[in-house]
Amino acid sequence: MKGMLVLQRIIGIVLIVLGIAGIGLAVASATVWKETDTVVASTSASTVDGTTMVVTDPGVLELVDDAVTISATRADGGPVSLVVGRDVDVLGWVGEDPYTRVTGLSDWETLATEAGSAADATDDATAEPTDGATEEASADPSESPEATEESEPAESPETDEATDEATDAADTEAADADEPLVGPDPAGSDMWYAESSEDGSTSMRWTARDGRWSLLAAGTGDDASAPVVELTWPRTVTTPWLWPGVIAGALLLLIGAALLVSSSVRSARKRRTAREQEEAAAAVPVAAATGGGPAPTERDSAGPTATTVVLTRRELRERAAAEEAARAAEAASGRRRGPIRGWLTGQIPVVAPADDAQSGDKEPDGSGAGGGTADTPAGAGDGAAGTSASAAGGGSPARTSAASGAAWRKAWASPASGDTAPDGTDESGPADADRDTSEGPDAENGADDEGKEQR
Amino acid sequence: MSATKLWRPVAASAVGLTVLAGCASPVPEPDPADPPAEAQAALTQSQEEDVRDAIAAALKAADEAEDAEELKGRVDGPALATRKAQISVAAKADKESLVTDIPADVQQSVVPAFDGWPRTGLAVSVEAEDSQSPRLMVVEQPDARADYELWAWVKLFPDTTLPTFAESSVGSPPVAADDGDTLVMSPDDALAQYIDVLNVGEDSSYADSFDDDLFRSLLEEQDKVLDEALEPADGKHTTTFKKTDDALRSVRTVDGGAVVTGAMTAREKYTAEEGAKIQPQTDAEKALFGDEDASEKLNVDSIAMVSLFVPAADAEDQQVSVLGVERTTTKVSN
Repeated sequence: MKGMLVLQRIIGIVLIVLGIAGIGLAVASATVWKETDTVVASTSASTVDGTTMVVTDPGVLELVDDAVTISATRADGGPVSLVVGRDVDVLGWVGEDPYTRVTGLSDWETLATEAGSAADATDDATAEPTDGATEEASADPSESPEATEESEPAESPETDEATDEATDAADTEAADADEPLVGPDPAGSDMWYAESSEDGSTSMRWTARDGRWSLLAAGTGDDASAPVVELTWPRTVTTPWLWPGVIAGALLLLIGAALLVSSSVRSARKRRTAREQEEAAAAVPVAAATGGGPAPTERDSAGPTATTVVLTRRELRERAAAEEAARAAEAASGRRRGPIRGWLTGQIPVVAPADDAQSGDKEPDGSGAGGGTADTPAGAGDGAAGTSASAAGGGSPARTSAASGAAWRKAWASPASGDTAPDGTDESGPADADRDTSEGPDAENGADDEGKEQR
Repeated sequence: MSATKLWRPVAASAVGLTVLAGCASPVPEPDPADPPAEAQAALTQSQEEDVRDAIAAALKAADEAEDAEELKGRVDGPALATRKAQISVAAKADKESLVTDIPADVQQSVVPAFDGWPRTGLAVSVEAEDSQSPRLMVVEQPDARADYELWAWVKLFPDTTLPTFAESSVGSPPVAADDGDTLVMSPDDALAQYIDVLNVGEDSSYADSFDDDLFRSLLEEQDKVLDEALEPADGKHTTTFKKTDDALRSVRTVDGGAVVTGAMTAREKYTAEEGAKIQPQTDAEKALFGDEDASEKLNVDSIAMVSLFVPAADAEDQQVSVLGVERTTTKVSN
């Protein structure tokens, strides 16, 4: 039962921590960790060698968003042209020239490129363009199995292909590799839907429309090189984790808090009942003192009945105050009575035995003034009182009995058996006790003692 | 609540947080539209307008500069040859009307629907200057890196009813010059047979394949007039049409037929008895002939562009009709 409470409390705390963490993460996901609202991806600076043109596959321009900002930059500052057209038009325009093909995103910042197959484009020009596209598509996957089988030489087929194509291109375009490339300029064709040309760097915006669209970026003029293409999309950044996270976190928090509260309530209740039991137990003597005599026996026999004697706080307070006062009083009187108690204990063996007292009762008391006949019943009564009375309160009756006993004994002149000693001690102070006890043996003399007392 | 039940939400939230922490979204794959089953219109309306504007601008520039060089890149084929001749003759004759007015505005555009090249479209202009009949223009993109050019035009006959073409947003596919399966005759045959009919006349074995047309009747009339005129000098006038090397341009119509446009050259031969002097007749001929001394012979060369409508093979009316012709004198000699 106690273990469960602890476990409940731990789980409550864990849930609260998790809840706070969840809310924190959710908020962070919508703020600090919120993705940038643009995606910027570019071709690597080293595009396929021997090309001046970069062509995107259909679908690349609208990869992230319908609206894209396209820019093309040439490090050497040469003229650059950007055009967007239907894929068949772009590939047709590129024709047999080698080009760098952008197939998609390799990661969020990089455009995946490969060598564009000039053969496909030329086939397309007269035949169905779709055939070329499917051939191309079916040719590409054949590379991937090799790549997956052998991880290290994975690039070699690609590069081989690239160089093959480069040499092919060189064959067709007389000594392409050696002589500086002359980049054809696509700008100005009737086929384009958007275009932009500038020296060094140019950019334009494109909004997706129905159909298949390709971007052609070309370094143009003499000694041309392929430009680096950068595509920038706005991204509608959603914060899907914010509210679920906050709500889930809040739920965890609430559950945790509820667990904590319930566990603490239960433990508090338990503690209170325990304390009440303790308090009730502690209250017994007080209750006895105030007259609740039978209560202790009842409580000892049946614990649960403790609740039946639940006291109000005021009562508790008063009781505590009373206890305190009693304790203080006890402490105060104890200081005075302590030695007396010591004397009393010393006295017990002498006084307490009932037989002695009764025999003592019969002793005549010289100082006693009571009638002789009346003394006997009184002495018997005293004897009875002496057995039941506590040590603390039995002083004066004993004395009277002793006095009456002494008177009785004196009157009947019966031989003293040494019972006179208590009589003397009754009247004398504590200092006499020592003397009395030391006198104990002397008491056997009897006559001397009696004489002394009488004196 | 047992201990395992208590741990359940803890575990669930831990999983949720792990997922939350590792939410790196994957890179999207290109998802382009499927390639269309049929070739789409190669030009949008605005692109087509741009093309027409560019051609009109080139024509205007050449007319104003009286320099056919201005046509380069926007006018080609028989249109270029014709225009060159017209500009040169008009300059010589100092007569602007010798240059055919080709309105820039069109009443109908026929956009090519072809993914390869050459791509051929048509345009029907509005009525030309002096209430002349509209022009039917053939516009072509010879290859991917070339611009659309005016390849040919004809003056539509006043009584011509044009066949129906596909919407410009859909586009009209080309027809192969030797496609004799879908048409009553292949475009090549159609032009060849028409030339034969022009040369031979009613006696041509193909005469029945062709509807009567204004051009043919005009030629016959002219022949008659000239023959009569030359008769006193025992003269003779013949006109011989020949096919040019230019391939034909054919565009499919909605009913499955084709508008076929081709070019031909014509040579008119005037001959008369010795000592006779045959003077050129028209302004163009005079301008081209110049100060040459007239003789008993005169050769007038011309170039003629003609548009034919070749019906579909299963069409009700199987006769080929002539839609229009543009003939321009290119050379006069004796």
